[in-house]
Amino acid sequence: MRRSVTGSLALFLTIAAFSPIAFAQASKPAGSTKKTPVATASAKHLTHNLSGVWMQYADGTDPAFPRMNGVDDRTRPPLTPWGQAKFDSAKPLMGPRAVGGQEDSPALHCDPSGPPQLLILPNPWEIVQIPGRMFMFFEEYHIWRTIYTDGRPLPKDPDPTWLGYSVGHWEDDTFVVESVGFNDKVWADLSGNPRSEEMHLTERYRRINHDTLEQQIIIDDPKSYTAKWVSPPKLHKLEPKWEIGEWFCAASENQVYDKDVRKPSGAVDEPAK
Amino acid sequence: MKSKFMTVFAVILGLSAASAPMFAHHGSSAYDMTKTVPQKATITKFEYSNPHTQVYYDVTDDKGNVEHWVAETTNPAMLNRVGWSKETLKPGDQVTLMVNPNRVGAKVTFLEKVQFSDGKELSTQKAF
Repeated sequence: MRRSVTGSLALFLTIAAFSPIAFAQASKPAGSTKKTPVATASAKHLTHNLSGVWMQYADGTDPAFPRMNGVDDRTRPPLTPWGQAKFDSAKPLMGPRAVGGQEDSPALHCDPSGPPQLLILPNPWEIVQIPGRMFMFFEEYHIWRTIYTDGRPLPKDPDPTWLGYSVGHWEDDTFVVESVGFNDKVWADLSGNPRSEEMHLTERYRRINHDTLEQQIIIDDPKSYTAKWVSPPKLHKLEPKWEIGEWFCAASENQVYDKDVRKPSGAVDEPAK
Repeated sequence: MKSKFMTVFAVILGLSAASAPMFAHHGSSAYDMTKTVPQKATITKFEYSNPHTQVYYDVTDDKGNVEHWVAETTNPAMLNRVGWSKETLKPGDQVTLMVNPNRVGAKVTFLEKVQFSDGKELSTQKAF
């Protein structure tokens, strides 16, 4: 009997330790005093309605801008030789390798973003559900994405695109998105970690209470990484009064910004008047 | 020569320091985000645009020389939510800008807050 109780306790502790909520708590930065929402008993049967404007909680890895850890560097598996070469050639926008004025990301040429990078950008995003479809509207880059929920399978040999091709289904209270068909022109994040045309992306979403959406990103890209990259769940807050604003990467405005700010910021040139 | 040495030194410091990402479109590794300094500024141009808003301003030094500076901050969509608009700053406005200085001495800064002559303040930090 005692053995049985001990066994049950061990099982409970094991399940608790690996539950997404436990991960979410663990992902909080040291010193953070902001209370992280957790699933409540009343949320035993969570809603299948994820509609709304969502904004990431500020619990990221960098104190200066603590968001954007939905794809979390701390859990990245080793790179393959192909992945390493891509990573080494990238001049990242953030992280310890970033150098002001010398960044070179496709984003700096107004190329579109795409998953999973698109999912971690620091502006809000909106989910709209209709029969057979879920739409995600992202403020930054003003990109929308369609996730088919009518039961269709993923295409077998899709042409590579910026956004890939996505289908979704419910597993109990978790909305699972599977995507393939990505090009390799977008980084997986903003630190220069790559994505390849072989990437299979899984996203898991759970509305753990009315105001909180839990998102987990799993990158399976054998061309870039030696194992699956499983990031800890990231929490997003419902912002019912927010509207998705206009954010275009307008080439003409971007050129002015590049000339007057970004490039001079890493040099001692006089900024343009 | 000394100036060149200081520039190289500053670049090395910048490279060795952990960067502090403020934006998705452009990192903030050019700025020392641990420091905030005031600058008495005369606004010359306000570009409320994407991917980042730019504030162009003049600073007069102790000898009366006018220097041309530019500060960047986040995008209008985010700033709109914390009280900014394209009318927030106009050429000729005399304000105090609270900025994060540039790591290599360039006259390019990151804008944290504007203090207006009537005592009111407008932050960019709440937008993040």
